[in-house]
Amino acid sequence: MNTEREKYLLKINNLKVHFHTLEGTVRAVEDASLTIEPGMTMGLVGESGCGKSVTAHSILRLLPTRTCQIKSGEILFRRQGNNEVIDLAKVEPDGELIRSIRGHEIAMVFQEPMTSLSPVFTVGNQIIEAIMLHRRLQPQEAREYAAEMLKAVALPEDVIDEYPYRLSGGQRQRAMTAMALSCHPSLLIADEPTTALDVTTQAQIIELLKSLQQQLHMAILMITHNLGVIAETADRVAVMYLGRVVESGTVKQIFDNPLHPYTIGLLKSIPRMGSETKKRLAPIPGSVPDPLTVIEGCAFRLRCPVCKQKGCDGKDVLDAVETEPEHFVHCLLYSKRAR
Amino acid sequence: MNNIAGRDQQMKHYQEVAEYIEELYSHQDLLDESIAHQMSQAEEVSLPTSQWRLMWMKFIRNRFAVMGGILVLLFYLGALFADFVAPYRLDQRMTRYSFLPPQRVHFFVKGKFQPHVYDLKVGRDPLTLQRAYVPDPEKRIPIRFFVQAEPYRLMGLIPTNRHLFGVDEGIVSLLGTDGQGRDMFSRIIKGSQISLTIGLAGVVLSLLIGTVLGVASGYYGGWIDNLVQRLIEIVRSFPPIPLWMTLTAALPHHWPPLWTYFTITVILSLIGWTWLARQLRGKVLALREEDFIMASRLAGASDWWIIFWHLIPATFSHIIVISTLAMPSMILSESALSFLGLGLRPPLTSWGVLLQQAQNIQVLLLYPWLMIPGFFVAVSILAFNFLGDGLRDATDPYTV
Amino acid sequence: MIPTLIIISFITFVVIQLPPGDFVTSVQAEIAATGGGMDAATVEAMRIRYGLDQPKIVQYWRWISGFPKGDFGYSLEWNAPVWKVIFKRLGWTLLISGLALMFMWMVSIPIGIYSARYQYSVADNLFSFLGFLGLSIPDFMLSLIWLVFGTLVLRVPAYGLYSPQMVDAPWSWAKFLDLLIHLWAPVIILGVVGTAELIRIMRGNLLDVLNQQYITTARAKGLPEDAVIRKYAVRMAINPLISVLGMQIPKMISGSIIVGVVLSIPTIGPIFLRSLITQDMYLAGAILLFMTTLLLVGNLLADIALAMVDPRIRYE
Repeated sequence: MNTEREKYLLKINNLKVHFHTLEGTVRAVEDASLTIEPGMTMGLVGESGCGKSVTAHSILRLLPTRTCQIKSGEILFRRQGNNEVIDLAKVEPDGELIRSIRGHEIAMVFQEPMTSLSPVFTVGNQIIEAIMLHRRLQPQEAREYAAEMLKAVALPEDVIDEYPYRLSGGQRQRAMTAMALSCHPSLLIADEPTTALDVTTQAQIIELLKSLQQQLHMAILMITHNLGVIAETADRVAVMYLGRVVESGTVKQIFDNPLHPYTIGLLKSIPRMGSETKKRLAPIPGSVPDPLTVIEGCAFRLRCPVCKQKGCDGKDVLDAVETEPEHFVHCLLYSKRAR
Repeated sequence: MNNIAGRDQQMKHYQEVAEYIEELYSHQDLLDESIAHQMSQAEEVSLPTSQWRLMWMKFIRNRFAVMGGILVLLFYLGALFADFVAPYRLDQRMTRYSFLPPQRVHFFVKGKFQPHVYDLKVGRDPLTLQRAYVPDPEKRIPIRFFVQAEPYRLMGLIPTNRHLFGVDEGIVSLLGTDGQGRDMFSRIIKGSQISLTIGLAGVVLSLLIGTVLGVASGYYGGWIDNLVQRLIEIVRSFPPIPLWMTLTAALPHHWPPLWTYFTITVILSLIGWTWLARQLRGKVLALREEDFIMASRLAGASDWWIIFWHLIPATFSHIIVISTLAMPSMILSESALSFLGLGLRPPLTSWGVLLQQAQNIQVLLLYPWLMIPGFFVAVSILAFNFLGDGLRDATDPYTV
Repeated sequence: MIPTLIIISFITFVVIQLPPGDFVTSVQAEIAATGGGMDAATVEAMRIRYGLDQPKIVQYWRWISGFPKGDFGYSLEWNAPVWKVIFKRLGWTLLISGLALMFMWMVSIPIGIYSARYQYSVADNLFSFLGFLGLSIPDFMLSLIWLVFGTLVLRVPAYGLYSPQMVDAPWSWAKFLDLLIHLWAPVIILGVVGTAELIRIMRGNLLDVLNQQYITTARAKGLPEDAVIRKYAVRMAINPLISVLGMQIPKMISGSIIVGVVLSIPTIGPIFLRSLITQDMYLAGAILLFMTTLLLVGNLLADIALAMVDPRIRYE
């Protein structure tokens, strides 16, 4: 069991990221911990503004250095080749080290396929650039390699000389994927890769990611607010609310046996195949609090339906409770001893 | 064995809690109660801020903008109470003191606050035979406040003879005098009346034309839009200063001052409105598609109702920003035209007219203080630029 | 563009006809001022000689039909074809404006990039403040300050194009140097306002671009920050500046007139002012029309340049 856990590829421990704005400090990430093993898919799910994107950007240190600060926590990453583990939370944000990891060992695909490629350079230009940055290749070889990557993502070969605005959203996302995978990263961070796409294209992109994952044996951190995407792709899931990971476990544990009131509410709010049709969908009461509010203790207590009923004041410090192997929940209701 | 039983019990407990939570989500009344609970808690957490308050907070934080706003306010107060602030009349000649350089004001006498200037001995430079003024430190002339001097009507209404400051004998000339011995400070303060109002009048006129044509163009579209856009294109294909020069040169010399003033205002707004109309058109084009306009139209509101009750108020903050930012170019153009001798002419006195004296290089080199009115032009433009920039940032929701 | 030009030429003609009286009237006034007089027959003869007796529309046609043939009318005051009067001055105007444009771009782009990269740094704030100053000081004021400061403090030649002893000298190295010494100040004065504007626009554009997703993409590739800025950000931020270039042209034209008048530089400014005052209408009209054409051509060139650098526009 113990040795199993030491095989992690990326391990985030109690990450805390703050943004300093004119209005005050935004606690974008308060307490996020998650572990990704090689070759597996980790789903990170939550409403917009819950800090999942910030967590992802922290891994590659892509957050603006002027306004944003990693307050505490560690981001341990096991490098390719020598298995050396480095703490990405401590590296220089624009240093040589992180740049040799970006795009090479950890790659990223973004939400907005329409804007994530520069409109004034050809697709080929931008992919070849990524390849040449990390591999010693002649320009001609890099071009051939880029063409191969485009073929791998099922794009016609002549896309290489096209400008991005000539491609559809789905095609651009394929091109982005080709670029991200061109250096065979051990981890791909997919930040809402399908959100801006229509349903058919969504399914194609997900299929593509899954098949490429098999071929290249890479891990994926899949960030989305779409539970369907999670159910389809992820092996493990972490649920985030207001900068905290409130529950994490295998996909089966989370979907079949959700524990945290937020997770339960989230699952209740979407229609499910096969459930009794008469059951109405229940939204989570209230709305996400203003990001500037500082909430001590349980972040969900302001919206939690149980909080009022059970007389739980939610203000105590809470630690993760491991209710079954690999299934962690941050909720005071579970930390109390059984009566 | 005991351990396993404990575990099972624990698992059962977890299961119960989860089921209980799930149950809660199915009871609407319990959910409502929970929302009420949240509302009561939320109140102590944060209060929503209104849009105008947010703008104000954002504006206040910009120190340059606040400084600009205060300066603009001071300028207009000075113009409004010009006769009170100026110690002398606009055309008061003190021939004894022609081409007097700015006097130095001393504030303390033996550590006591008592502002004064030195009396002047008038002589001639033995070499150049130019008039020369020698301050006499022995004879202090105290500057007194709220003195009685030349009579005037405050704001053109209330007759009085009080002035902000003055001297009983000799002269106090903070910014020197011109060739006819007229006090530059008094003339600049009086000149600000024209310089600052002609800009304002020009902006108001541009605003009227620009708002009507811009809003109509954006709202109706079609041939109206086409016509207005072509018109703007043609007006804007002329370089502004040369066109203004040509137009103002056509003004007959014998016109009464007021006519000249208004015609120049019209000429200045002739080009100014195009920019405004373009900006508003874009804004209206975006607003036209908004739901509240559609809702209003479905409710049977007339075009005029929509334009006056929805479109113009919705673009109001935008209009304020645009007009503030349009002020500098108006002030600048007026002073440039008058400086070249094509705009206003004496007896009308604006900063540009005052600067005409500084056009001759020989005069300028001997009496450089004659270009001080130009600094007032620059400072007023700077103040408007700071203010306008701050307002724009404050009304723009996308900047942090 | 051609229809616009025709409408503009018509408006120009109407505008220069606005003042009451004509050139002959102002000649009459001048002669009267020196104590002389002109009899009605002479006046009439002059009008007929200059074609001023014809209906306005005929006068317009005569005037405008000469333009395509390179005949821009006759300056009554200078007693020479308009082209001869303005030819050399047009050259100086273009030279000084062109140099000022180059100065603007060379100074503002690096500063704009620096200010955006180090937003809110001390240097950025300083540049912002200087930019505001540059925007706020009118060009005639800058020229006046330069006249006084240059002459009294620096003791350098602050006006004209050459020192007096060089004016009629044949071209030589010394004369060229003398020209350079005189030329740099007007060029900078003319460029100050535009530089301040361009810095602000460049900084704003770059800040916008730096928030774009493709910048993050480029960083996520592992590209060094300098390369990200150079290849992805600056390239995009400069595009809108090219259309700003078109907007700079009318300011250059206006500025060159005023700076020319104050610093007595033989641009078309001083003779334009003079022609307006003496109602030398063909000269004034031709100059106004020239400047307008210059503006239109400038805008057209800016559009073409924009299409050349931005593939999205190129294909549309």
